[in-house]
Amino acid sequence: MNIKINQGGKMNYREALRAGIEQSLEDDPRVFLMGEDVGHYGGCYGVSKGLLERYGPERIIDTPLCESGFVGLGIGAALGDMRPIVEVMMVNFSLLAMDQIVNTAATLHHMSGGQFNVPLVIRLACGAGLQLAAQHSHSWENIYAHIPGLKILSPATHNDARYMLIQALEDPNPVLIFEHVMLLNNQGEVLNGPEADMETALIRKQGKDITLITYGGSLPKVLIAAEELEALNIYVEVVDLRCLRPLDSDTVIASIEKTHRAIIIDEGWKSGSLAGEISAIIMEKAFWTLDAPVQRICTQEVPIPYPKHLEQAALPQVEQIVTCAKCLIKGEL
Amino acid sequence: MTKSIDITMPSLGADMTEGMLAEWLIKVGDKVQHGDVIAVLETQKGAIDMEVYDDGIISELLVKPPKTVPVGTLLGRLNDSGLAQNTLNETEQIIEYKISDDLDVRLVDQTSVNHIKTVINKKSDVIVNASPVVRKIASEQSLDLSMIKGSGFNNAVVLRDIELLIKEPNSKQASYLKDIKLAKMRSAIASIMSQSNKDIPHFYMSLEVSIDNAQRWLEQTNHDMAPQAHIILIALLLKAVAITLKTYPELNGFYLNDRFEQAKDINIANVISLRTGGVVVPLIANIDQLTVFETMKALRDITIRSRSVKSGGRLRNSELSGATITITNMGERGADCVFGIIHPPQVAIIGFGKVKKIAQVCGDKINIGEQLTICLSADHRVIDGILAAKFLNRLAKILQKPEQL
Amino acid sequence: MNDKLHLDKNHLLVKLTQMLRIRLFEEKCAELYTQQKIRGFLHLYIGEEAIAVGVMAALSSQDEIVATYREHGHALARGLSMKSILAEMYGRTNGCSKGRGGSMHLFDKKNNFYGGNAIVAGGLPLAAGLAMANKRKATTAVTACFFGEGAVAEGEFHEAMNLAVLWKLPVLFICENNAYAMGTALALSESETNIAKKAKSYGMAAKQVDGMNVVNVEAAAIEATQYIKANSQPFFLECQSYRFRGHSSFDSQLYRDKEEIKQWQKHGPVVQLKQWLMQNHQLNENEFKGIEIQINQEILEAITFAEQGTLEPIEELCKDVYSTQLSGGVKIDQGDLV
Repeated sequence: MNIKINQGGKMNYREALRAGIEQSLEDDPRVFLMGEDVGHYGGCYGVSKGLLERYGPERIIDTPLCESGFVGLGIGAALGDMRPIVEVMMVNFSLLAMDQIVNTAATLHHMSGGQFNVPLVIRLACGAGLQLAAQHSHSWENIYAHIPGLKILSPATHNDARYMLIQALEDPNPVLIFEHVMLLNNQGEVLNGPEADMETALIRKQGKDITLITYGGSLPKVLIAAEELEALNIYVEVVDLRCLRPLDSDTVIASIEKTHRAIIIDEGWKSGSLAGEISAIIMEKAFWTLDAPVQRICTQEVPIPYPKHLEQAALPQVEQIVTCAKCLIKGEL
Repeated sequence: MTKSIDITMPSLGADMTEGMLAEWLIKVGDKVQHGDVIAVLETQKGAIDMEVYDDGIISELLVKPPKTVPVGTLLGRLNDSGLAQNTLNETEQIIEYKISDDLDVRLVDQTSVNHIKTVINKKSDVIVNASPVVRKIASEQSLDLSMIKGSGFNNAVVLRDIELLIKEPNSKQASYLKDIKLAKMRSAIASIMSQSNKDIPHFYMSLEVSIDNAQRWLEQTNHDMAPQAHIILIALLLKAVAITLKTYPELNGFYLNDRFEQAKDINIANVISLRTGGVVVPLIANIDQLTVFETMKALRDITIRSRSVKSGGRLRNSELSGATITITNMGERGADCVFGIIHPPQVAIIGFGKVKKIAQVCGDKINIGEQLTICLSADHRVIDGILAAKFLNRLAKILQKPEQL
Repeated sequence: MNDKLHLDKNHLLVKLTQMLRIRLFEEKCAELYTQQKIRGFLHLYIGEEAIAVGVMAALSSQDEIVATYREHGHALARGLSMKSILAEMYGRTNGCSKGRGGSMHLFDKKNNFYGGNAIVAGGLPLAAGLAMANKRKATTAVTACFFGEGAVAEGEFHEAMNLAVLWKLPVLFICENNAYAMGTALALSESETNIAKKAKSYGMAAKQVDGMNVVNVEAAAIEATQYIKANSQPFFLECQSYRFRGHSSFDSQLYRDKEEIKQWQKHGPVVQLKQWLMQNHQLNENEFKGIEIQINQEILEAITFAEQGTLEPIEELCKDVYSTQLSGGVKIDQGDLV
């Protein structure tokens, strides 16, 4: 019953996501999509456009505006052997459901002594860049990655957008998938299947001089920076983390053992960031291979401002990555 | 009740600021006794045995050889089973010779070697900024990072700066960095001597002593002994000095913090020349309590070990620090008199000249006797002329009755 | 007294025994808590036994239960063994949640007992979700969701009410109105204190019942489950009750009058049923004592069981954070990886 839809090819990120949802709906009758405006509206970002018409209101369910209610309901449905894909329109609204996510979904398996598990998938749009201002631009992967019991995915490539959802539905634990809004319109390549299991980080570009570690919406910027640096004879290795909890520190450390230098690019605010966590891991596991302090490029400590130039000034940019890399090699800051 | 005792990098010499732990000779769990040799250290003076001063069981070894660490660094621990403590331990710790803070160790710039710069050798340690990976490589290859110019953040030495050395560890450049240590040793010795000469107001006194009785005693005593056990004159001289010091303890001690501190024990250091050039000055402890035979045995032992470093013989750290007075016996090499420079913090150094045959008038006859010149260099802050003279005379007198030694 | 139920002596004796069992067990827990055998928070059900016992009588084994942190009574009435409940409170591995949850987190898969929740109103959306799953699986199971009147203030209550009616979910909502949300009297927290009325405002069928009367509760619960199955709609049951002890063991009860407690105790569920049975010559004092003795024996055995339970070794600390069972959904073979 493995009808693969849109098996490979060129498409945009949105289309890749949609293909993944469609395959899940086709393959397992227990799967349904539930969230605000996923049906009649076609999804806030058009990801589920056309699905209501194709699969009907039993499989594509528009919810009232009650995040806590429908995330909790999703947990209950998953407990009852369904496979709901709950869409929280944006990570920004997930705060309303945080009680259910943290206090129920993440804890049930443990609190019940292993009797119950919650095979729930929650998809959330995230990230800044559309001038949506302070309440609609969050990057909170780090907050959720902090919580034992949850798994956190960040598909940065089209292929991951296509296949990570299916891998997540296969996992018996609650999985949150963060989809960065700035990736949606990008064109990319989808292969015939996933490149790795969902918890593995991947090297997107090989190099010997510096390891650039990133995830999600920052990956394209990092790859552009890598090209620019290559022209300057600085060969960086790019690690796409893909899964933020659990973190694949083995892949990261192996790269640093090769390059001896690291820059972490993370769209969260620097304080308490995932970059800080990764930096600590590098310190603990690879201190004696480091030739320079680990660098972090994160969002500035400010709620995301509305005007374009300020928003862009707040976020990590290609230029910062390039400059940081050059400094690392030269030994000046 | 057991207590945990730290094993630290010992200070083995006044000028030692760091040592290289070359090898552990024990492992965790081994039972050790006071005096056991537990490690081999490479110092500016060469390879030295490191002994332990407590009885107990080794509980942890914290430093992995080869590793260079500053003096005082914790190397390991043992669980003291509470038995006999080594009093020598305490004595050694009293001695902490401080090199003047503004002492420079300069190296000649060599155009064939890049990235060399002068450093100030501070009392405690040379602070070198280096990245962790460079530190690791440096310790593995015994590189002296203070000699390398860093190009990283905060002028830290980074990988690129030691690239050549990593690629060619046997290159001239690499070995130059390792040999820097030897050059440093020489200059360090030189600096102590010049410092001593500057700081200590030396005065000098000598006395000719007849050693007829001593030589006769030696002949008789050695007659019944195998050649390898023969006692030589210097052993008698050492014992005699030790006995004399008991009467005149003002020459046996340390000048520290602007005052003289009398030493409890009489530990006499002997200047022993090395065939490869240079000297070592190991001590024999508590000579006053040894018989002449024991003194000879000890002397033989340290001489062999001083000279056969390459063949595995080594001196112990307890033998290289803690001397209360030094003797230099250049006589064989043909000087009548040798006035040495006092080794701080000691306050005197006694030199013995060569044995000479002289004509002695005895009544109406002329006899041939043997004598040598005892030369004393003394610290005038502590010792005055009269005391020095008394000391010399007493020593001469004691030497007339060798059987009582 | 009776209300559309076909009652007989045995049935009532069973109800009395069930309530008394909860009562004596809870009282023993209070004592064990003072001896530090039970730690953390302890929320006792004393005074409210009729609700759990009455509702459970209307449920079948395929029905599901979602409860709160005051759930010992519900667990006992549902069929979790007293031993496993007490051992759980002792933190031992032979507890129903392997000792990991404690008093507030009793879970039992085979009895479809979904806890045990320390977040007020946290269970309501969960119950709605379980009901949705039942509906999609086309089973006739009902999800019974117990909560206190304090939950009514929470947003999740309203969201769940709305979703349940909107999507026609087979949930039996049981509001155990014991008049105090921890230390806050209902009148001080709700603009509309008629809770059944609130449910009705969502278009939900609702009924109020005397929570001290087990027969009434049972009758109402049976009616409710029948309604749910017939109409594929949720039902709301407000049981008016009172807890005789504080919110938890740490409660000095400054917020209510001792007289008030005494008044309610006179009409307590156990006392009421006992008196009725004795007045109607269905029970005498000896028989009652006999029941007590049996229950006390069971309690002693439970204590021994709990005391003998082992503590989980520390090496297993991080166990059961993630489930490793495969859920049998869409499979990805390693061979599918490109």
